[in-house]
Amino acid sequence: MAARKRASADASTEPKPQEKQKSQGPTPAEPPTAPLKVKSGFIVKLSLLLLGPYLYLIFRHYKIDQDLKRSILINAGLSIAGFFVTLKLIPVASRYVIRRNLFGYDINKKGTPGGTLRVPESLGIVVGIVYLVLAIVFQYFNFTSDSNWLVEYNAALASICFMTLLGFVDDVLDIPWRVKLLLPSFAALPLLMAYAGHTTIIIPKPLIPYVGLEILDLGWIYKLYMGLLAVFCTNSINIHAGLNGLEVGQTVVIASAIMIHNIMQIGASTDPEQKQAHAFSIYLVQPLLATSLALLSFNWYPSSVFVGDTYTYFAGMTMAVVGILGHFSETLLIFFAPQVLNFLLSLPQLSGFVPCPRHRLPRFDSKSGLLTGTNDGTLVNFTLRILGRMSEKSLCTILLVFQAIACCLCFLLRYFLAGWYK
Amino acid sequence: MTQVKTSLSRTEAWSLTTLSLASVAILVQTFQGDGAPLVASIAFSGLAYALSYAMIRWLGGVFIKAANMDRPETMGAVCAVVYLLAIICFIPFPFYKDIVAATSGGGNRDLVLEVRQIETGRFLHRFPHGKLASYLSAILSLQSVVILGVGDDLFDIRWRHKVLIPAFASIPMLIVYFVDFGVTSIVIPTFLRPYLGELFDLGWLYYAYMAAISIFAPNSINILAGVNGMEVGQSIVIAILILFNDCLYLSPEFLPLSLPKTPLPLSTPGSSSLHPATDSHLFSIYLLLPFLAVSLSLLNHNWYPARVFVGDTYCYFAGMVFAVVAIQGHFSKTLLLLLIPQIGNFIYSAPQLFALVPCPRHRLPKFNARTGLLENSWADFTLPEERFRDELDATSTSNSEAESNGHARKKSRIVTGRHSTLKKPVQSALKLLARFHLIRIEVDSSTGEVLRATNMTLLNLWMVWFGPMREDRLVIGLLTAQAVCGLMGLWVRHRLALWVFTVDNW
Repeated sequence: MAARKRASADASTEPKPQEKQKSQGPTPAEPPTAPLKVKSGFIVKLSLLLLGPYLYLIFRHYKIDQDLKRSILINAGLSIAGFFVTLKLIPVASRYVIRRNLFGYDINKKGTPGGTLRVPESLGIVVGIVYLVLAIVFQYFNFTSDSNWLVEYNAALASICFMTLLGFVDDVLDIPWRVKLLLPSFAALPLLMAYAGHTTIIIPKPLIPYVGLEILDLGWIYKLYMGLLAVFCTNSINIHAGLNGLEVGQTVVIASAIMIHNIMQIGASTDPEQKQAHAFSIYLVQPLLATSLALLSFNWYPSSVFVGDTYTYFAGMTMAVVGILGHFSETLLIFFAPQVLNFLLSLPQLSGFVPCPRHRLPRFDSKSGLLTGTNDGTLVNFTLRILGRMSEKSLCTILLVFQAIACCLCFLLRYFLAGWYK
Repeated sequence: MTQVKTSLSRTEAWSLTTLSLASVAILVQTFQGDGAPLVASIAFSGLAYALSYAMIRWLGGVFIKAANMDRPETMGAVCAVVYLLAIICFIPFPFYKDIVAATSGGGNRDLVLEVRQIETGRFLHRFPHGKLASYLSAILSLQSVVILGVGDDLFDIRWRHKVLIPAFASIPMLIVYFVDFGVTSIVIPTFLRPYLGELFDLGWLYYAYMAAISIFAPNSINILAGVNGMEVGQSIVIAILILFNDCLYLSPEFLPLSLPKTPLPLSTPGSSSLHPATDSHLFSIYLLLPFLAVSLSLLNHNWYPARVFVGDTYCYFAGMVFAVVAIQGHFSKTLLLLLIPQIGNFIYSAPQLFALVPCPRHRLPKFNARTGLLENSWADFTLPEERFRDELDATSTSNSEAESNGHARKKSRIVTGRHSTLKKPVQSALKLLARFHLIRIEVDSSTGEVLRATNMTLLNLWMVWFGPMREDRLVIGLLTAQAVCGLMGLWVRHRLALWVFTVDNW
C-alpha cells in the first residue's frame, strides 16, 4: 500500500493530525522507525492515581452483594490479562503495519531528530480486537444476568465491532471527512435496532410545572438522541487530538470516571434494575481502560505508535454505548465537558465561517522544543494562548488534569443537585 | 495503472434507482401493515443489491489508490459491509412485535397477550425474543470475520495463522449458544440406539465441531478459486441450494415428519411452531437473501472478464455466512453435503498441499495467449542432469572395482533418459491416477519415470477431462457440476435420513 498521502487541502476536521508528511516510500538509507519504548513508570503512576479511588469504593466503602462483586472482579481479571496481551501484541502489529507503509511522521517534532522517525499508525486496531475478545469471552463468566442482558450486550458489542471495522477501513482508505462524520451513526445501528429498553426521560423537578409531566416518553426521538450521542462522542474525541498521548489519555481519564460513577450508583442504589444497568457499564468499560492503558504506555510522549482514527472511533463508541445502556448519558456529557468546549471553540472553523487550515496544531519551535498557540479554535491552542509556551508533554498533562477536574466537578454537581434535580 | 470506470452508466443508474425505490416502497408497506418479515427481507435484499453495485463501482478508484495495484482488490469488503448494514437494519422486522411488546408497559398489556394467542398467520415468521441474542451474535461473528479478512488482505498473514481466523470469528456465536441454549447432545441413528441410547452428549466436542465447520467453510471456498467469478459463483450456487432446502421446511408437506434431531425447546413462547425447525430455517433465509443480493452484484463486476477482484475477504465472508446459518439452523451436515466439490478439491489437492508431490508457486490453469484459452498447468519433477550425474558419481565411487563392469553397463543405459525427483511409490500412485483419467502425466519413454503432472486441483482436473477452454466456460462448467452435486446431495439427505433416523430433520 502506498504511504499515507494526506496531500489534499481538505480544510476541515483534522482526522489524524500527527502525521502529515507525504512519504515517498523508503529512501535509499531507510528512515529509522520510532523505537518501541514502554513508558512503564508513567503508566504505573497513572493507574494507581485513577484506580485508587475505584478500588477503594469497591472493596471498602460500599457493600456490594457477592454475585455482583464476583462478576465485576472476574471482569477485572480478564481486563488485566487483556492489558498484558495488548502490551505484547502492539510491537508485533507495529512491524506488520510499518511493512505495509501505514506510518506517519510526528509533526510536533519537526526539525528535531524525533521528526524523522517513522511512527506506525492505526494501532487502535490491536486495542479494538483485544477488547472485543475480552468482552465476548466475558459472557461465559457473567453470573448476574437477566433475560434481556444477552441481547443488550450483544447489540452493544455489535455496535462497537462495527465501529472498529469502519474506523479501520477509514484509516486504510482515507475517507472524506463528510462521510466520516456519518460513520458512527451507521455503527450505532445494531444498538438502535435491537434496543428494547424504555425510551422515557425523567423531567428535572424544577421543570415539572412548565412541562406538566413527570416522565416523558420520547419514542423514536430517544433513538435519534442515541444516534447523535454516538456521533458526538466519537468525533469530539477525534478533534481533541494532536498531541502525543492526548486521545488515549482523555479516554483513560473519562473511563475511570465512568467506572467510579457506576460503582457509586451501584453502592447507593436500591433498584436492582439500576444496579444491573451500571454493572453492565462496568463490564464494558473495565476492558476499555485496561487495553487503553497498554496502548498509552507506547503512545505517551514521545510516541512510539500512533493510534489512528480506529482508536478514537472505537473508544468514543464504547463510551457512548455504555452511557446509553447504563442510562447515564447526561452524566457522560458532563464528563465530556472539555470535548464539548473544544467542539464549541472549533465550530467557527468547522462550519467554514473562519478559514480552516489543514491542521490546526500549535506551532513547534525546534530550537526551544516548545509549542506556541496559534489562533486556531481548539482547546489545545486556547490553553497555550492562556498559559504561554510549554513543551508537548506538559501541555498534554495539563489537558488531562483539566479533564480530570471536569469529571470531579461533575461528581460535585451531582452531589449538590441530588435531591433538587431529580 | 489502467483507468477504471468509477461512475454508473445511465442505464445502470436508472435501473438501480428503480430497484431501490421499489424496495423502499415495499418496506414502507411492510412496516405500516403487519407484513411478513420475509417480504421485508426481500426488499432489503433489493436495496443491498443496488447499494453494493453502486459502491463497488464508485470505490474502484479508492481501492486502487490504497492498494497500489492495477485493478481493485478486496472488493469483498465492500459487499460485506453493505450486507452487514442490510441485516442490521432488518432487525426490527422479525422481532418487531417483541420489541414493541417489551417496551410498552402499562395500558398495552393486552397487546402482549394478543401476540401469544395468535401463533399462526401473519405472526408466523416472527421470532421469539430469545432468538435476538443469537441473531446479534451471528452479526458479531460476521463483523469479526470481515475485520480479520481485511487485515489478512492488507497484511498478508501467514497461511497457518490464516486458517484459524474463522475459528476466532465464530467464538461470539459459540458463547451465546452456550449461555443461551447449551444443548450439546446429538440424536443417535436408529440402528445404533440399542447400544448407545437415543441421545449422546458430545460435550465440548460439539463446540469443537462447530468451530471446525467455521474453519472449513471459508477455507474450502478459498482454495477452489483463482479464475474470474469462481469464488462468487460457487457461493451463489451454494446459497441458492441452501435457500431451496430452507424453503422445503416452510411448506406444510413436511409437517408430519416432526421430531427434532437435537432436542429443541418445542414451545418457546411466541414462537411459530408449525415445525420446530421452521424458525431456524427462516433465520437462515433472512441471512441468505441479502447475501445472495450482494454476491450477485459483485458477480456482475467480477465475471469474466473481471474488472474487480474479490480478495480473501470475500471467501472468509461467504464461508462464514454459510457456517453461521448452518450452525444456528442445526443443519451443518447438510452444508457439508453441499460443499462436496470443495471437499473433493481439498482431498485432490492434499498431496501437493502436504508436499508429497512438489507444489509449484501457482497451480492455476495457464493462459495461452495465442488461443485465448486456459490450459492445464503442470508441476515439473524432472531431475536436472547435473544433479543426476552428481548422485550417480556418489553411488559409483562407493562401489568396488569388481562390480564396475556391471555398473558401467547400467550407467550407459540410464544416462540416455530423464529421471524424476519423486520417490517410486509416489510415481506409481500418479500412474494409477492417470490410468483412471484423474490426472495427466508425462513419462519418459526410456526410463519410464514420471516427469511432469498436471497440478492437482479441481480446475485442472476439469480440463484434463474436457480439454482447454475459455475462462468463463470453465467456471460455468464447474458451477453446473456444483449445482448438480448439491441437488443430488439434498435428495440423498432427505431420502436416506428417513432410513437412518426415525424422522427427517437435522
